[in-house]
Order: sequence, then C-alpha cells, then structure tokens
Amino acid sequence: MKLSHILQSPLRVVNLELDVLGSDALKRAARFWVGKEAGTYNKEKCIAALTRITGGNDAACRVLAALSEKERQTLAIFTRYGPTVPGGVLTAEMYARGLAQMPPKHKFSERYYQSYHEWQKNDLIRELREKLVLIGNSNDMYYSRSYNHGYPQLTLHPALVKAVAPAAPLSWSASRVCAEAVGTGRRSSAEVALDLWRVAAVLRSTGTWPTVKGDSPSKATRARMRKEVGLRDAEKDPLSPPDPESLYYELLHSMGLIKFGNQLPWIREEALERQLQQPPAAQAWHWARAWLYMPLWQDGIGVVPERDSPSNPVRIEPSELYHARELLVWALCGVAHSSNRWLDLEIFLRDLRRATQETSFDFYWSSFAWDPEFEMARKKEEYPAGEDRMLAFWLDCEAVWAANAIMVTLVTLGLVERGQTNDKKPRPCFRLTELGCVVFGAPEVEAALKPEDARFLTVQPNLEVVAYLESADARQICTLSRFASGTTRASGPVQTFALRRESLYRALESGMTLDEVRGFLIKHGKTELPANVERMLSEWAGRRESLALRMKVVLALGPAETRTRGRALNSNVFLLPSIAMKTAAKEFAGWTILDHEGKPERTWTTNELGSLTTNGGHSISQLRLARIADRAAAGWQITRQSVGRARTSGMTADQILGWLGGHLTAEVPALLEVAVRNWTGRQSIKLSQVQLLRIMQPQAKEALLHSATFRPFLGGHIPPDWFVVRDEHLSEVRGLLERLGFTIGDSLDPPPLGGLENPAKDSPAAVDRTNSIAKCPARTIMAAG
Amino acid sequence: MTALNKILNSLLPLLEPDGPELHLNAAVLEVAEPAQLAELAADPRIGRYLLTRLSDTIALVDPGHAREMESALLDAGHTPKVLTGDWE
Repeated sequence: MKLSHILQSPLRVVNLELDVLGSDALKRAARFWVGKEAGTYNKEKCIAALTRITGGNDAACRVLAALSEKERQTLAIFTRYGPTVPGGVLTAEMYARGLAQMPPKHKFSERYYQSYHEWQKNDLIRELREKLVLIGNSNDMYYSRSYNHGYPQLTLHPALVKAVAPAAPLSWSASRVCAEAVGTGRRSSAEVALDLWRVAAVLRSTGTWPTVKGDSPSKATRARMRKEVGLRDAEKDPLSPPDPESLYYELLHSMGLIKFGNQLPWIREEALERQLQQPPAAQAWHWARAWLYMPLWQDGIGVVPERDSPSNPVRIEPSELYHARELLVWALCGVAHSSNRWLDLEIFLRDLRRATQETSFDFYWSSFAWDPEFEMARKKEEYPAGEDRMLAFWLDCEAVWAANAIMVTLVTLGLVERGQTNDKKPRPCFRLTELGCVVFGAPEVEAALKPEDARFLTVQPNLEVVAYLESADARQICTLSRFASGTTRASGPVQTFALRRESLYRALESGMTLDEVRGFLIKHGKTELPANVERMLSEWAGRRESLALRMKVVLALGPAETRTRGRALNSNVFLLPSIAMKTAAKEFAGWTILDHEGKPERTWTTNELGSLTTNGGHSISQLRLARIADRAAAGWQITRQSVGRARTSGMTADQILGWLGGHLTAEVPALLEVAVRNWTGRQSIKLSQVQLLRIMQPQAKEALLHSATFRPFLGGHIPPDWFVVRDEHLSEVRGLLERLGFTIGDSLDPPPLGGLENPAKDSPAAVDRTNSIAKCPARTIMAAG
Repeated sequence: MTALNKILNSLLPLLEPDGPELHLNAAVLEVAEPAQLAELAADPRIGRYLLTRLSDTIALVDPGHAREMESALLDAGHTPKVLTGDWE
C-alpha cells in the first residue's frame, strides 16, 4: 500500500478570484495563458478566456514551456505537497531548495530600498502569482511581515496539476548527530492501536456521551475514560502525554471515527473496524494526519477549551499550532530522507529554527508538561541582542512545545524513538522509528512487508494470553482484543489478555466465528494451543448456540395451508421470512395483524377497584390480562393474588401499570395504581386512635406551638389548627389549658374531606408534624382561646 | 403429560389464539432443550419479559421488550446469540 505525502492536501475547488484583479493584471495573465492576441482583450474577455482554461495538454505544455527552470522547480513543490501548499511549508521549501533568497535585512542602510526592490523582482512566487499559475486568497497578497518574508498558502492552477512532476524529497542536514543513545524508549504500532481501541471500546460501551463545545468529551466522560483505560499520563511521568485518553479521543474524532450530529455522538463501528484492519503504516499515517490538525488537544498541554479568552489565554491558537505542526512535520520528512541517526533534540530544534526562519512559529505559551531545559534557553539572558538571543528565547518557549510534540506525542504515536546522549551530561535525543520513517518518508519510503503470521503470543492453560506487542502489528492486536479482554491497564510491550466467556461471546456476536478465533490463536501462538483452552472455547461457543434471541421475526398463528415458506414451531405456529405490513394485509386477508413495534390496542376498561372488561382483543391482550388478572363473572378482576402471581414471575409494578396504561381506554385510576403498587411493594400505613386538640385562635395556636411547657405533651401538629395530644398526657394538657383560661369543649364535627386546606408549608412548626391522617379522629378536644 | 411439561405450562402456558393472527416484528427466545426454557422462565429477571410458549423450546417475548430481554439475559450470565430477522 503506497502512502501519499503526509502534508499532501487534497485537490480542492479553486476560486481564481478574477473579478478582483485589475485590467492590467488580467491582460498580463491572459497574454501568458492564451497568447499575444489577448493583448487586445478587454477586461470581460480576459476573464472569459482565463475561465475557459482547463487541464488540456496544450495549455499546460505551452505554459510550462514559457516558464523558467526555477519556476518549474517551484511548481514541482506544489505537486509534491499540493496542489495546495500551506504558507509555512512553501516558505521553508523555497529557502531550503535555494529558490528564494533571504530578503535584505538592514533596513536603515542606504541601499536597502534598492536591494529590496531587486529581491522582490526576483521573487519567483510573486511572478507565478501574477501569471495566475499560482492562486491564493487575494487578502494574502501582502504576506511579508516587517521582520520576515513568508509566503501565504497557495494552490497550483488546476490545469497544471497533472503536467508537473513532483519535486524530489529534501533530506535533513543536521548540524550534529549523536553517535549512540542510551535509555531509549519507543512504542510499537500495536501498542498505539491497542490504546486507541481501548478508548474506543469505553466510548462504545457507553453508547453515546455528553460533549462540550468543540465536540470534546464532557468532564464526566473524560473521568470515565481515565478510570476505565487508565493510561500513564504526564502527572505520573512528564514524558507521557497529558490527558492521554483525550489524545486518543481527539484522534478518533479527527479521523472521522466518531459520528457527531444533532444528537449525542457515537462510535462509527464499521469505519473504526476498517481503520484498525489497515496495515500498520497506513494506520499510523492517519494518526499523524489527525494529530496535525487536532485543535483541542495540544502537545504538552492536554485538553484545551474550544473558546479562548484574549486577556487570559488558555490554549495555543489552533491556526498557530497547525502552522507549527506543519513545519515540524516538514522537518521530520527531511529526517526520514536522511540517514536515520540519533539527533540531539536541542541541535535539531536550532536547525529547525534556522531552516524556517522566515516563517517560524511563534506563540506565547510557557507552561508545558515537560521542559527539556535547553542549554541555550538556560543562558538566554546572557546573550546580547541579536539572532542568538532571539533563538535562546525561542528555545525557552516555542521549542519546548516542539520538544513535547517530538519526545512525547510522536513517541506515544509510535513514530519517534527517544533517548539520551551517552555523554557526561546526557541530553535528550531522538530518531524516527521504522514506522515514523515510512509515515514521514512517504511516498518514497515504503513499509517493509511483515509476515502476516508473526508468532507474537502464548496461550496459557489458565486461559491467559501473553502478547508481545513488538512482534505484533496493529491489526493483529486489535483482532486479539476482539475476543480476549486486557487484564492489565498499564501499557507496555508485553501485555496479558484473558479469554473469558463474555469476551468470546462479544467477538462471536460481532461476527467472528469460533474457527477464526481458534485459527488466530494457533497461527500466532508461539506454543501449541492448550487442549483445555480449546475445549473451553468450544463449550462457550456451544452455549451461545443453544440460546438464540430472534428479533424482528414474523409469526403466523393459524392454519398451515396458506404458507408456502416457513418454519413450523408447532402445528399452528410458524416463523416466516420478513414481510411488509402492506403485503401482509394482502397475503393474510382476514387475519388479525399485530405489529409488535406498534402501540397496543386500547380495549380494556376498568374501575378503580380493578374490575376490568375487554372489548375484543387479540392474543397479546389476552395473554397480558391472564398474567395480571383473574377471570371473573363479568370479565376480569385485578386482585392482590393476581398481581402477586405476576410479581412472583418477575413482573414489576411499573410493568403491570405499563400494560394497563397501554391497553386501557382511559387513564389508570389513581386508586388502582396505588393498590397495584401496594400489592407489589411494601408500602404500609398506620391506623390508630389519637387525641386531637383544636385551637383556632391564631395567637393561641402560635403560643402553643412555641411553648416549652406543652412540648412534652404534644405528639405533633396538623396544620392549620390541630394538635396531637399524647394519650398519657391528656389530663395534664386539659389541666394546663383550663389553668390558662381556655374553655374546653368535648366534641367536634370535623369538616368533610376536601373542605380543609393544608397550609403546612407556610406554618412555622415548632413541634413535629404528622404527615398524614388516615381517618377522622375518634376523640377530639376543642379549645377556644 | 411429563413433569417438565407441567412445569412449563405453569410457568409459560402454550399460546392458543382465538383466531388466525400474524405478528410482525416479534421477538422469540429459542433454546436447545425444554428444560432450559423452564429454567429461564423460572428466573424472574428473564421470566418478566416472556409472555407465552410457542413450542417446548420457543417462547414469545413481550412486545416492546426485546432489548430489555437481551440485557436481562446478559445480566443473568447467559450468552444469547442475537439474530435480527433470522427465522431459520
């Protein structure tokens, strides 16, 4: 599988923006593309002629012949990376290939303007833009800043795309290479794929998940990913990425493996499966592409919000970060095309700064998870004003981002191997892994074909599978993960998986067969598959086969003669192939047709005591009734016993009430609902005689409520004016009330139910309140204040 | 009638519709042995979603509860083969 260049852009529709050009510019371009005759064209005719130019060979050959060798070399950059090339990459390429000269720097010298004019005249890009061979946004015409001269993003005219051969790759010329490295660390593609798979598996198990702006996972989702995947992060090890699970989430996001729409997101299973079954280099190429344009996970920082605050920035501006990543990747592409030696990190970044001087990335961010404390950066204040001082400050800021990207993010993605120089004072160094060389060296560098039957695992009799990820490729480890669960949360080159009934079941349900599982373990096993493991796998698969849940089937309950195809379940019941409602109505005329996904028919009527009658009803209605009610003389009766029977069979109150709600022609009577809940639950009420005292005069009532004397004698307050008197203190209460001048009556006619309003919420109760009263009190005392 | 049939009848009576009926989008649970059906029907976590027996090894799932049935089976430690639209 041949990969395209990692920075290559897809062909986009190009807007020539001819209408914004002046007549002279249009005429110049038309003369170039069409010929001398265009010199007489007016503006409209120029636009018409330039719009008609297509990718035909004649126009392309004529235009290419009219260009200088250097101009053709410039166009070759566009067919290598483009047809659209980001401004940073274009600038770096132009200088690196010697197609652009450094602009004059000494602004205050006498000859500056003359030198600048000369430099501008020799600018190939400017020439090619004027000829409309290169097309860009008209707003980017003045791309030079006061302190450097970079080019904007430009696109090669579509008519020339197929006519220009791509430029040869550039190799990286390092100022210094390291002889050897110690304490090295690298990750295999299988390790990366496994981490990606684990994060995807957690998301898949949640179904959907809440997101915040920018489609990032919410805090709760991030916490769940962290808890269930638990990758090593920057807090434990500065050379691990911050929020590693979110890095994989954003990779899934950028690779289009998460579906976002108006509703909550979900994992696109088939696309994920396709991605994980690609060759390792292709998978890694997609990881790197996804990382290049990933806005909300930033190297050395972690997850950042979608919105920034200009006064208090909380992230690097994504467009600046894309620019920085593009330049870094451009440099690594050069590394992939040079001899793959260990590179001193600081020296590499100094070289990068010099190579991209005219388009260098600058952003103001200083808090990164890992700080390599570069030698020059430590001494930054010691340098006098000038290039070195600027470089030292850059190494203290932007280069720290680049160090985090190379030594942490790209190592995590298996593209870079890191280490330390074998010196007295060790310095961080790195080189590309084989995978990194293929990804950054594409299309020229191709992956060596690995044997597909690499033996990378050992199945143990205790049903554990020890996998050596260095020997496996990403596809194989993902296949293993489909039917075996990871037992260790830590990542590393050797991981243990366990064969479990549930994991095998998941694999079989997702479409794998037992033979495929067994075949995989035999093919990739370093040792023979233990006999007991083979037996267990067969037994588990057999158990699945012995229990089938068939959904969306068609059942025919009736005489057999009408069916030509079908599977008889008994003399009157048949399973049939799927059939549409309309066809069913035609083919089964006279039959009752029930759609199990439709709403139940409303044919039941009941009173609040559960006496139920039906008006017709099919088998589902009858079966449900028989489950929750008893036959009665005039229909059905829901009773404690019938509900108890349903309860014993596992039914819940909600399920019973759901059936009633679905089939009743009116709402479920409240009393019946309470009864069903009572019969299926343990709700209880209490009933007993109480002594009630009624005081209607507000001042007297408040006095009693707050009285310390009465408090021990009262059992509660029933708003607005009832007090429960403790039985054993009735005489004391009576005595006290009389002593305080109350006239006590012996009887009271309580108002009818509904005649009382309960203002409990407004009453400042000083004593406990009773919540309910089941029956009117048997004995009452009425005191008049 | 065998003892197992008696148990099955008490747990999950055989369906006897009054007239011919065609059920679309139905869900059925199919097992290898009648004893297995009795075992499942007797488990309240699963039995609550079973409505009737279509044969000694096949039961009808209560309409609208196929997914709950699947979850209940998994929660109870079973590993059902889940088939959609497959009738053979």
